[in-house]
Amino acid sequence: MKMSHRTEPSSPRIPRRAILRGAGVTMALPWLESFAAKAATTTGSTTAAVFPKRFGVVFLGCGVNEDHWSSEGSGADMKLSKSLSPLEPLKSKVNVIHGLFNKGAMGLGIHPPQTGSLLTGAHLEKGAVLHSGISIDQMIANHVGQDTLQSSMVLACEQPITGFHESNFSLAYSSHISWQSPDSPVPNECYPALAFDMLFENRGSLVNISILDRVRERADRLSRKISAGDNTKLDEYMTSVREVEKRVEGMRKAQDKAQEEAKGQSKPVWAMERPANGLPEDLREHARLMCDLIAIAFQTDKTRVASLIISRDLSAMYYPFLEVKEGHHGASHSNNNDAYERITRFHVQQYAYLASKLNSMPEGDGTVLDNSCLMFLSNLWIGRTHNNSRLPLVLTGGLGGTLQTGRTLDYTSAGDENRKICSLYLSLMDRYGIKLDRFGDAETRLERI
Amino acid sequence: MQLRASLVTLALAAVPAFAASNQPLNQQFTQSVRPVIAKYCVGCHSGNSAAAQFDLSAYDSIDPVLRDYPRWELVLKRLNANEMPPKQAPQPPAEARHQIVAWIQTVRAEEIRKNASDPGVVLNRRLSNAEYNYTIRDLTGVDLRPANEFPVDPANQAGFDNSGESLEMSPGLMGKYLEAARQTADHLVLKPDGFAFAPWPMLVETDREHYTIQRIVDFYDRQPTDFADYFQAAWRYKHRVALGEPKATLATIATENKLAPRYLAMVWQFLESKEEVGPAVKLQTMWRELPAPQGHQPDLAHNACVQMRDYVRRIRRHTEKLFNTPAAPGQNPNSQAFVMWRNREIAAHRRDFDATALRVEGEPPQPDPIITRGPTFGKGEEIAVKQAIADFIKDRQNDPDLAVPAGQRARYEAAFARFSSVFPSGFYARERGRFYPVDSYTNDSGRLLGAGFHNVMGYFRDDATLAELILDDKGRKELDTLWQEFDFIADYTIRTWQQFVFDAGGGGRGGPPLVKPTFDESTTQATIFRYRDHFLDLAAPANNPAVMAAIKYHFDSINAEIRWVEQARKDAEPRHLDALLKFAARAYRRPLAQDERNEILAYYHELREKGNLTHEEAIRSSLVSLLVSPDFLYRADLVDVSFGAPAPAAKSQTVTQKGK
Repeated sequence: MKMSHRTEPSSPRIPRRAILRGAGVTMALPWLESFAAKAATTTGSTTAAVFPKRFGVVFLGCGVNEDHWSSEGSGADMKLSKSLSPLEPLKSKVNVIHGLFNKGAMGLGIHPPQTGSLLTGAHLEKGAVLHSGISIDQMIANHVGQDTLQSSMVLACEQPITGFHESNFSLAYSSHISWQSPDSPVPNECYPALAFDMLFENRGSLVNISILDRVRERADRLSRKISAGDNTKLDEYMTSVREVEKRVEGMRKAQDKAQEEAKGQSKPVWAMERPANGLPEDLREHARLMCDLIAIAFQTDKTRVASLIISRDLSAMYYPFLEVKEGHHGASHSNNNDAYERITRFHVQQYAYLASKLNSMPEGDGTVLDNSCLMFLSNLWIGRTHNNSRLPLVLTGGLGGTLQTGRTLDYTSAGDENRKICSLYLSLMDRYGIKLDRFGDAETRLERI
Repeated sequence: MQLRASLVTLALAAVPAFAASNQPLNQQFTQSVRPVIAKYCVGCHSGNSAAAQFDLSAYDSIDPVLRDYPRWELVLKRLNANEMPPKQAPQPPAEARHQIVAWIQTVRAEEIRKNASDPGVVLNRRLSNAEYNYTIRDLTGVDLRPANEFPVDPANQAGFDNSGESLEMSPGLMGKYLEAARQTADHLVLKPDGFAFAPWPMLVETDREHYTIQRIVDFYDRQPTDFADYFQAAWRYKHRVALGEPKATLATIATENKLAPRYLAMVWQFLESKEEVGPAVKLQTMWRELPAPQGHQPDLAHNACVQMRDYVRRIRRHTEKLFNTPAAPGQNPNSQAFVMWRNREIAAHRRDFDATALRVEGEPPQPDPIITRGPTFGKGEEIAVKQAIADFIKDRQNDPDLAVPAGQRARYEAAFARFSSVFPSGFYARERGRFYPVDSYTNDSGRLLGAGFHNVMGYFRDDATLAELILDDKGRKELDTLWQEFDFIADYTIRTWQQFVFDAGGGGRGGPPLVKPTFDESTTQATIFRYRDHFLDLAAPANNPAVMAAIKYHFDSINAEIRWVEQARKDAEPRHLDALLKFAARAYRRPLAQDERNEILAYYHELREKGNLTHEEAIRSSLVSLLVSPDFLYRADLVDVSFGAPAPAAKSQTVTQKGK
């Protein structure tokens, strides 16, 4: 049984855009240039190592069952409601945050305008031309992702949709949460196999090397034909090409070394086989593979930032294994029933799976999870009324000791000025070393976080 | 000053075997420069594996230094910037460093003095940043300006050809070139007959759609479809003598005013014909009453022509021939097959009219116009839509020009038919939402080329009337190509189909649920026909041939379109390779030699076969390799050597900013 509508075949009819991205664009060159910094951290002794901080986002479209989404108290006494129960084993590392909202996503209509600015806090444009902002995950990727193979992984279990919604906002806003530039979202990688290739075959860097190889040969041949004076310039060129090649090679070696080191620390680096080609037919398998990919990429420091859309806004996913007859979006219109609670809990389970996986990976005195922050959120609170006056949100992981965990943080009655989700983003970005005066509609940090 | 200095370095490089005429400088070299270099530099910079392939031990006097002066310019820079010796190596005392710097500077000043007024030769050099931007613009047709991210060129921001020495290459810059090449390649658009570059990266589905849709909408917007312009042109023809153009014909006036000649002739003929009843009577009266020019007053009738246009538009809006989706029990009337049927019917009847709009005296009231009613969301929208529909119905009922005297229906219908045949309800549909034809009153305007589906993508081509009345053969061909490229580039049919299959609406409500195909199987002919037959089976009991035909047509045309795209992609691959070779020749600013062509193609095939890249990925990566190759980055065309080409450097096709 098919779980979702998928728009990209695995045949070569359609370009595998994400790979292209992996091969360069936003990713390849920044890390070339910062290779020296990277080499310094991975080749230096590991005793006083500062572990990289990671950031992950897991997204559920169309809101939760609000009757079963609550938490009370802190620490060992924290009580988690039914939908949050998959987080029970991890609750000392969890912050359940209630009452935050994204004011800019209200009053524009339902669905796409409630989604496209979720991580950007930007003002969206109606019509054919997209305009959002740079999302928090990409802000962090731009800052911390330069030293890794990929600055970020942008994954989805559901294919994007395009065209127009009734609100006259593009449906693309419903399909993407990660934005590298205000005018264009980051392409979602839906194929686990291709996401795997980007991480483990170093396809991007291989293509770079082959390109450099080719141009070096070209320069060699030319230099034999031209005068000494001209050769001076070509020498410069060849030296430059060789240097870049060395960096790419070095980068790969450093990656291998990081993997070796991780092995040394945590017994085997948890091995992962390349997923089969094509899209997994079962969403449970699909989501698990995507989480595994993020986990192993975080552990081996191949990327430090990831976002995962399990179901998009206006999702067309089906959940026969949860015995839900309707599709996701349809079901969300009666979100306070049991069926939608099961859908909600299924998503939290995947999130908990990712967190547990990271928590099972030792790093220094703690785990990879302790050096991460994983955010779970949805674009809506109550699907049947398209209510986004508050958003369901969970953070997991101590972010290298900078984020206290095991808390319920309730901002529902803190006043609109003090419950902005963009304030949370400012507070989180601070911890990644990104100090901004404002983000979206927020100019202040979130209190108590 | 820097510019002059670099001119000299060029001159030096070009004049070998320089006599050791300057004894004091030579002496300084052997006494204070060479020993420091021997101590701090030659450790790395000597022998067969000299760092940076720069052997400093070989310079035993000022002569070899002068012969190889460009490298010493580099030494000067590295020393000045404290980049050499490297941080971890022992550093010379500051004074010694200054001595070397001062010596090189003195050599340079001395040579400038000797060579004053000699501009030197033009040397093979890399593109300046300015040239890089211009060249990318010329090659791609898009002003991407990737060099804006590059470090500023030293002393050569103007891109003078004979100051090439100052244009250095460095690993950092090489990295920037690689990044810029990739960014440029991200804009690549593969088309059936070659490739082009879009103004924005074409990596996300929505960007591909935006690109292709905008081109079609721009084409529509360029067409002369304003009735007022035709009325005014007809008026100019009528008064050609008074306006001082006695020899003007309808054809020359159409050409001058960029109107469609055939359509102008049609409008002229209609205005000049004698209609006795119906909407044309008023229009012809307005036409006859247009003011006559006294001398050269070409715009005298403009406002009156606009009024005529508005009159025609009102009549046609109130008499547009609309259709309901065919009714069939057990079938969702808003399912895509039926919505598309309705779209086709409307498109095919744009020169027809709705006879039920006529209010004949003594006849019972006619039904309300058919208005597509999509679902509404929220009270506000429901109220707005209801209001828009009520307004439309009221306007139509109150339109005095739709009133017909008792017993005259047949005569008036014939008159309306003639009128509507000349003045279509629209030449094309630029946008369509859920509430056609009242979208413009509601929230639904702006959905460019939309099919009017609910919550899923879907596009529909409705421009047959434009092709019929306005376009010439060339225009028709161009429009056909734009629509083919829409699917070729943005894949809208296949993506709409896959949404239909996997979305909530695709299961065939009311019948046994279809077994959904796997993703890879979803677009095969067998799957599409399985869906078709399923819907046909569901509809069969209703025994409505229109319904059966609508279903059959819908699925068959989807299959045909998907198969066309498949085949077109396959057929296009060799054309993309041709385009790649042409691009290479333009990037290299000269014709390619046969072995170079082979090499480029071999690289593409290697990427496909060994690198396991898709066709598009391999073309992109091939473009990247061209854009970082020395042939592109270096201005060999300025130098008097054959640079691997069969013929001497061909004339540059790209911007060259010549110095004096």
